[in-house]
Amino acid sequence: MDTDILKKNYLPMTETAYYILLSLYEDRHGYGIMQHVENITEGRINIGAGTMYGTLSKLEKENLIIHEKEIDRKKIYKLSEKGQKVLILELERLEKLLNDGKVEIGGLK
Amino acid sequence: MKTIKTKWFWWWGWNPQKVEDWLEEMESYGWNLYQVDMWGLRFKFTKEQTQSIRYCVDFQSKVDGNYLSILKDDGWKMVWSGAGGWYLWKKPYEEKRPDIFSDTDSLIERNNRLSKILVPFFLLIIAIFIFLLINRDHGNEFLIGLYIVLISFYGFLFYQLQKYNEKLKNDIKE
Repeated sequence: MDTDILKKNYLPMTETAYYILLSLYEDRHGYGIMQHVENITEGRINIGAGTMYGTLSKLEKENLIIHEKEIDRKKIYKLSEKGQKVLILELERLEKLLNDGKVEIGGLK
Repeated sequence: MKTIKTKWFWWWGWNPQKVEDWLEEMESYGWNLYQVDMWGLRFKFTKEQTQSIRYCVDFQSKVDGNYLSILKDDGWKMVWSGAGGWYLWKKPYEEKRPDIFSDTDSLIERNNRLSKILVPFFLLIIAIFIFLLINRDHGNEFLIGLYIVLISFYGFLFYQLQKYNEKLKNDIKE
């Protein structure tokens, strides 16, 4: 799919969406994602269960994530090919932001 | 013998926060909620222990098992589910007050889901109203009056939901 269209449609991401996609580099279910995000952000980001359900439904509808199996009625999600592309584009964007900042203020103190 | 208290709480679709806060307050005085009627208006409490319990209202027109499992895994217990797709969840807490929605967008989306499900009913009422006006004969003045009340009520509901969402959107900007 055309990179420009992906950028236009999905970037910049919300922090919630970004961390959900990051977490789905491995297969996880909804609550597993919540725990993982809390861990890697050291408690800074707590995604509410209702928000998690809503965001997963949206991401799945946009075909950024897919679920192939269910265990105990829990959907196990993973990134789709499209989702991987979008995540890489977002990482590139964030890197550019960070570098621009460093150049302008002469590094991080 | 247990002390029991029954209370009515009139709340409307656009201000679930009021009922959430009220139930939390009741728990903090030791009134533990144990029953809700099918309309979500009559609440029964027993006087037992004071506790910190967060209540959250959600509206989901259709859900799958995934919805229930994510909320349950996160420690929420469903207290009540009502017609159309209302859910009342509760979770005890100690320090940090939990919430099922961690961003304002989720609340706006909940309100939009509610607005959306009201639209077909609203259109149906308007259609019947027009039909009544066209086929006017005596005896149906009462019905026409009734439909004017219904239409005003729906109009008010939409207006309140819209106003709530505008407020939420402004909160995001600030």
